[in-house]
Amino acid sequence: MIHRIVSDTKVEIYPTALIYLADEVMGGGGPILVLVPALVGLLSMLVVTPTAIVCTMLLMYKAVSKIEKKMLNYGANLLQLKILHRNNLDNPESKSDTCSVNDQGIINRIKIVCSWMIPGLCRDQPPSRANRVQSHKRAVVYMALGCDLVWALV
Amino acid sequence: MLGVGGSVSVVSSTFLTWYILRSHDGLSTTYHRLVFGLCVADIMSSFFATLSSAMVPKEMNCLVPNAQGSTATCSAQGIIIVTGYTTAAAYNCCICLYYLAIIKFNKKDGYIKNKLELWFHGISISFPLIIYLPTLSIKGYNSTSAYI
Repeated sequence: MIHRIVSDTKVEIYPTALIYLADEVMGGGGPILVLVPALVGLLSMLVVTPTAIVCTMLLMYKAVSKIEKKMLNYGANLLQLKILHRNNLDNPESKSDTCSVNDQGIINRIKIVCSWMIPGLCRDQPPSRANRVQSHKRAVVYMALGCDLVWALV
Repeated sequence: MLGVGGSVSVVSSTFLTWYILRSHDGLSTTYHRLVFGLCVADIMSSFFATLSSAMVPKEMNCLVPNAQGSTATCSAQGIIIVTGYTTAAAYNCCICLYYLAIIKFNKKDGYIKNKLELWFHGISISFPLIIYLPTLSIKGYNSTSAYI
């Protein structure tokens, strides 16, 4: 390519640059020392890193799912309901709250469903240790996923 | 575009570094040290990517706009950019492995700190240097399209 450019009339316009290019590209030597690191670098950036990230994410997701399934089998939800029921018995004035399980009526039921769907709304719900553990691990997975998505975006 | 993206990356990574250093734990936790290494690598590579063509040798001024540097500055820019990007990618992998060790294998902080962290930092820093430094010896970062 250099020879073709040099043989053109462009050599009169940009002689210094072309001489510099020819000197650097043709006279540099050691193409293996340039090509091999370039290939290794590209492979590590485009293949190894995404593969490692996807594999670790899948492994983490499987581990968290397994833990959550195990917690369900232990009856973490039942424990949570028991604590909630006990809390309602201890504080009868909070019966009219949206998080109350024993409320009657369609509107109250809709409120309860909404409050269960949006965890932030259900502030009177006592924390259950089992569920806190599983949500913590899932939050860590989501945090790792966020970091990796940011890197992939960059 | 490269300048804008690089500037945003430099500012963000600098703030993150500052936040880590000013935090209560500082650099005492493994996670903070890994993120700190990632941020430093990103700052280096993004800063030199922001400079873009300013480091290119003056002789290329007719082909590359704003070329005001020399062969040495071009080589420095090339080696720092590729090393920084590869180091950041390696640190990202290491952070994933760190999370994996905690979540899946239930490793404690002491085990990670004593056994794994050394490998995390060692591979992340030494691998790019071993790969890219030989190219510097033959001025491979100047005019080849593979890098700059």
